[in-house]
Amino acid sequence: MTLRDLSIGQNAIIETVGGSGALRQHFLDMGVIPGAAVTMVKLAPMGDPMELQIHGYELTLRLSDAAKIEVREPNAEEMAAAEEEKAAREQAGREMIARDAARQKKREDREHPGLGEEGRFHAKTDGDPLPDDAILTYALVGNQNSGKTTLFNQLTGSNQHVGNFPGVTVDRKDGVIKGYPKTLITDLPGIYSMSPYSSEEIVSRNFVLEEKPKAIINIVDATNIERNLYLTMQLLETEIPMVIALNMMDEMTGNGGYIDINTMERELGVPVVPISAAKNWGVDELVRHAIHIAHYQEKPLRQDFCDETVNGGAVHRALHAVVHLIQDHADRAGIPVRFAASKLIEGDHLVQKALDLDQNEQETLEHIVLQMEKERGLDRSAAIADMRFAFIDKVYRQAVVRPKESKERIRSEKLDRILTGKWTAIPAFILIMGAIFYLSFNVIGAFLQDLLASGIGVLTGAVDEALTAANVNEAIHGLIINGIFEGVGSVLSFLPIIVTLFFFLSILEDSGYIARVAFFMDKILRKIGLSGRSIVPMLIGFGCTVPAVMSTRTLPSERDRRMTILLTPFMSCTAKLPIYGFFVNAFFPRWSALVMIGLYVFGIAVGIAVAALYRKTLFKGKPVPFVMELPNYRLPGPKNVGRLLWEKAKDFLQRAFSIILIATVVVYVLQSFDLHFNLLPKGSEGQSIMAALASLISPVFAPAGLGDWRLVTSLISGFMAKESVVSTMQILFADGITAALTAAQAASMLAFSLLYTPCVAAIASVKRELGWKWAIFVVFFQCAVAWLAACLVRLLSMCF
Amino acid sequence: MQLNTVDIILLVVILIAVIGAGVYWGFRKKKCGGCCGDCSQCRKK
Repeated sequence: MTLRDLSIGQNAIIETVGGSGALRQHFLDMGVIPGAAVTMVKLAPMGDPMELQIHGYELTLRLSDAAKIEVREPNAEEMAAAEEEKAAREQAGREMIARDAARQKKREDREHPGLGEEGRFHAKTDGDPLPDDAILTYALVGNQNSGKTTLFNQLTGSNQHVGNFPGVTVDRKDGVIKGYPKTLITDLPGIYSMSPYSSEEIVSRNFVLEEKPKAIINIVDATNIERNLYLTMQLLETEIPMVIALNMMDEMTGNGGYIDINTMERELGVPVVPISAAKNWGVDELVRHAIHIAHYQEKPLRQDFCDETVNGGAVHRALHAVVHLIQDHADRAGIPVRFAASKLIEGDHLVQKALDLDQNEQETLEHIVLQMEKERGLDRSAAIADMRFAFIDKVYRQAVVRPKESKERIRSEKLDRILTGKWTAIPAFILIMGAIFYLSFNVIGAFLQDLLASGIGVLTGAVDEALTAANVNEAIHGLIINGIFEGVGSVLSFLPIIVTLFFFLSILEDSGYIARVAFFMDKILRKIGLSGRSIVPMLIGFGCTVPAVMSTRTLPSERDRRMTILLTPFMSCTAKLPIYGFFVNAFFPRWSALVMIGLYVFGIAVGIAVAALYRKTLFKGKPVPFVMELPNYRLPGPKNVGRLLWEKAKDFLQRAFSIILIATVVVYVLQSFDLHFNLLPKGSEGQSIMAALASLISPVFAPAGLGDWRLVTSLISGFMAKESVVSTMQILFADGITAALTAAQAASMLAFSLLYTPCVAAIASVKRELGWKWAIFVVFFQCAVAWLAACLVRLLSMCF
Repeated sequence: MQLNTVDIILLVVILIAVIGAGVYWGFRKKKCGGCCGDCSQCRKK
């Protein structure tokens, strides 16, 4: 029997974990190991993927991946033993809590390891501290959804800088800890393990091993401690001074849970500080500990987690043997030896390459590992994962009392009954997205956009009057007002809509709903070679391509990200609505609604066809596995959201201004001067450089019925901003458009406008995410697809 | 085209703004060390 065969509510025990490479390692890292207990929770509305509960949290995976994991039903003895153990743990937990309460009542002191505290290991005159003026660098590492961003924001306030890690499109944030100017903390991507597969994992381990921060702050979700400690153990193996920030303690204790911090500290050998980042509890104490351990370079007291008494000690013997074998190589490579040994046994190719073992050593290593596999009865990766989880289980038993099902969990389950229910998921999704777009583009965004536009209008008017009063040359006047102010101003008008959209989307993402959308849209998107996560950027693309492209940063796979960015231009953005409205009202007034809907559907249909083509050509290969955690629903903090919006707004303004300003000036000059650089009077645009250029390429558009240079010029001006297609046409077709064009030409124009290159701001976003080559590809490919579509429409119209 | 002092000043300002925008763009492109966020070099693996 496999995981796929489980029915809802059924329990099982994992027997073997199939698959290979990154996917298999990801399974193991997420706790899907032989011997682990799982419960099938639900299937997505379309029957795939599935959601299961393991190690106290919810995990989703596709049925095709679940089919690789063999399970068996627990027998009667195992179920009885599990119930007994559960009761025993609950009893032990109650006793632990009672003992602690009694001690607190008597105000008794407890023996406290005191790791990372002043005066315990080091009096001020002792120890081996770094110089006082040394910059204390920290890596902030933790699982996704552990509250890392919230903690980072609490630690740094506004003293942070957003950038990228070189070589990969992974966000990097650096900041200075408030009140400690000689610090620098780097927020690393959320990861589950230090394995060598995803770009986030590679970036994190490279940062830790190569940039050698002075200390690590490992944030652990106290409500999901078993899975979080898996990463902690690997971080401890790096021998870098570390402090654990045990986050969400408010939720843990609020739901009747308990953690014996002293015991945990003793077992892990590093300071453990209970915090709630959202409520700013314990953060000061965390900072004091972090400063101390970094300043005094207090390394973790423990890196050895294998037990010689567990399962015959096979893994213990193998690890220690490998440590001795590779000691000199690890020292030369600058990799902590315990970390190197466990990674080597797992089959980590990056560590293998770095250590550069000779033939004899490699063979010895292989023999050691084969012997371990034989004695332990598990393959190497599973054996190491099992070793880690065995240690975690030991710490858990000694130090953690599991909370009752938390209020947050109960609330999430109630919400999920509607938001991911078989019949309600998709209607709820359509409703929510519809509300977001309506609010962003019609209510809030439109209101703010009108406000900004009036402000820009007032400014433009004032500048216009000033230029007139100063008797400025007409051409320069036109360049400043009609070119720069109107050009840059029209891009600026995007800003309120983008910020509003991002506001709602960040709430959706931080609340945990986006994870659910990816869950139930996965099956549909897989048919076009993408995974569920790609749905969000595509939806945003119906509003504006710029934030759609920016939002693809949340996609974990580079292939998926690239393909999603290339498909978003097919989702017709709102800037094209004036074009549709203009032609539909002029040529198809009786069928306006049908034509508008038809245009959107046509755009999506072409996008699906192109996706199918990409799948067979540029983006061959299987879609990335879909293994994802479904966190509890949470209300995002207002400070975090506000900070994110400010970053996005600043980012957008900086980039849009540089590109748009240059492009605006160039296009205006081309429209205003003839080939001899004489300034053209109004109404003589037909003699402009732009017209000359347009006439060069208008024969290309002739088969599509768009050979008129005025149409070509309008379409070229649409490259700046789609709205300018209509304004340019109004200038160039001064006698009225219905007199100059036929309905067939209007239809071709609509088809071409729907599909051709997005505006320069969108192309700039593509260039930013994928580089120049892909940005140019988008321009030409979209124009080619648009041309074909326009020719097809013309052919069809000639038949009718 | 007849230009007065104000015209010339405005043209110079526009030119500086355009060149400045170009330099800013180019500068950010060069400044890749993992911190700029706008460097196409960072996209190369």
